Amino acid sequence: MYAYDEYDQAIVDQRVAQFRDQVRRRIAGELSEDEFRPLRLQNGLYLQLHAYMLRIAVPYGTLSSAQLRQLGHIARRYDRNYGHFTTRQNIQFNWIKLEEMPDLLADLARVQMHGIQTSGNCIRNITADQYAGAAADEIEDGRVYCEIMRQWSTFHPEFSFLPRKFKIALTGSPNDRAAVRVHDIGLRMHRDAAGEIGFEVMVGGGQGRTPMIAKTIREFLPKEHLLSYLEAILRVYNQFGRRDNLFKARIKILVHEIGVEKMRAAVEDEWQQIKDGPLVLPQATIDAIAAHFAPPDYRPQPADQPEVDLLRRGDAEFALWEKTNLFPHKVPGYAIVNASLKPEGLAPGDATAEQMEIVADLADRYSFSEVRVTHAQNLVLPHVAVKDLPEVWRRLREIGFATPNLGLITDIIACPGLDYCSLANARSIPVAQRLTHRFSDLARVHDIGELQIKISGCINACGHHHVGHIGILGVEKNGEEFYQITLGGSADQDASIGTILGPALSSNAVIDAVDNLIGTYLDIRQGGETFLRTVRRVGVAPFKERLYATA
Amino acid sequence: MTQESKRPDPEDVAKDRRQTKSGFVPQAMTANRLRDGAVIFLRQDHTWSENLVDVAVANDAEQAATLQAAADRDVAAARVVGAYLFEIAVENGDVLPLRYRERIRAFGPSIPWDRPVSADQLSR
Repeated sequence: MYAYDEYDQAIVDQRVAQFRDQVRRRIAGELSEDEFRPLRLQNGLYLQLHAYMLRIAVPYGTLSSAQLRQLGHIARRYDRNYGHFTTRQNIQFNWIKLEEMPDLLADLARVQMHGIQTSGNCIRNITADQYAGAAADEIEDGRVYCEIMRQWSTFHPEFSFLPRKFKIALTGSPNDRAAVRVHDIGLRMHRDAAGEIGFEVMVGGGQGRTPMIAKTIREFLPKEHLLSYLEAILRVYNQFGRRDNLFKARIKILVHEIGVEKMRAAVEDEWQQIKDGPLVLPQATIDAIAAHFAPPDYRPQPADQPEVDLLRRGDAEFALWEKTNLFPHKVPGYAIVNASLKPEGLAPGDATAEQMEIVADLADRYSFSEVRVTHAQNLVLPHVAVKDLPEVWRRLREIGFATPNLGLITDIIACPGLDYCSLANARSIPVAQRLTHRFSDLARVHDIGELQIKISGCINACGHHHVGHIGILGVEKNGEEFYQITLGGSADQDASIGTILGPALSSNAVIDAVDNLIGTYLDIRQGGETFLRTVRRVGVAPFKERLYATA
Repeated sequence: MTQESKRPDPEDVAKDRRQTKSGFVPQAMTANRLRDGAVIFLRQDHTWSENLVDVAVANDAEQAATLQAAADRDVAAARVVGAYLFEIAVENGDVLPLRYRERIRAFGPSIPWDRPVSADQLSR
């Protein structure tokens, strides 16, 4: 994976020194909160419901074992022994002390980490397919281009004060695991007719109070033009994006208001003026970055794995885990292992210091010291030899990260909600917890099959409810928590925004409501049809009728 | 430290505002301590406490303005940040925030949040 050069390290070290002085001046009363707030936000430090919250960037979801171990140290030394992996592939710590932030940032800088680009109206930390560089179905390792974009976007002087925050996601596989169509810019790597690999460029997607699916403005962009084309889009947005209204300031509103044709024309106009300038990416530059992402030293693996076969036949739990929590690796004899951070009854995406350290140890021993963070709030060991699966499974099971539920009904995405977030209107985590209790029978969970429940505690949609197969949105009515249910959303290559089923339900009713929807699905599904396919075939009406008939 | 006993019951949400005879809903002042971000409540003597039980209750607009002025002084002095008044009910001497949000803020998350703390942290 990418290792900082002296420039990267100098930037981050300088930032630590600057912030140390800023914190000193704030505590001494030389800076007011109004003066200090933008400075702390530029380092990922928010003031949340209970305390300061620090959001740390995990660029394109890739972590080294040393970095994950250091996050465990941060949890133990500076927080209450746990952190929360987010839907932006970042990690948040909930109980940070301002006066300890300078030392904390210095500890992070030692492992090439920081909170830059995790807040503010800049280009945010870029997200990607968590299986990049490992997946059997991938066309190319997109992290190379994510890293190039990271270097281009960090402290980009023209794009540090955009109308609003700006999120870019990239997938190098035709099977989109990075939700690229609900980002300000989505990039999908594919081959053109001549067999060249380049990018489909999508623009204007997003969630929040106005969910939109991104529109394709360029079918094929050669790699060398990636940065100039992005710069053209950002310039058009920077000039025409609405700064008069916070709720209309995202690029999705601009694209919606002027239409994709005008947007495309404006971007192409701008691009023609800069496309052959200094932003052209020479092959040598691409190669130099790509060298950082060279495949690890895979060893030839025997075709027969009698020990694994034996365990598979003898242990139904292992067999179930292998069926759901692995993903095909591009190298024979290897597998991608998902550690499920969705055990029954706990907060989705939470991990303690000890859990982080054990996953880091497993990465060192079994996955070339690499870990990934997924936008679905799980962790990944990307390169595990099949012969090591039994041991990895046992160790993950010991720390509660081996629930065989990946992509199933209890693999729930949930934002922190009102338990932690000052923007939230209702709690998210307890709803997820109650759902994992209701659906604790693994046989039933596997019978229900592929199903994504996504829960947000407010309309900002950090919990991605708009693109949940079942989406749950918390709202407040007269001081009480209510939950609005949507059906048929999806964040993959066939992205769609869910349809609101009907009036919001009380906190008491929401778990039964999900059970009711599952009942309808099980009654009307045809063959091996997934929940989402069933909703798309019959629409929401049958679900709605049965749900509200009993209400 | 356990907050189990004080954890708000999700079903126990105040539906009606308990106004005083004058129509004023009792209020109290909260903020975050600047240095560490801790949630704190303003006492009658204008010092700050981490415990809601210590909070000063304003029963009319004038008392609320006094609390606001005291909080503003500490904001200006860089002791606290994000100070605001919130509505409460007082029953048998116990102070209960009316809004669910303020209860979670006062009592902590409604889910387990004090994870097992390591020896390393305890020794600090």
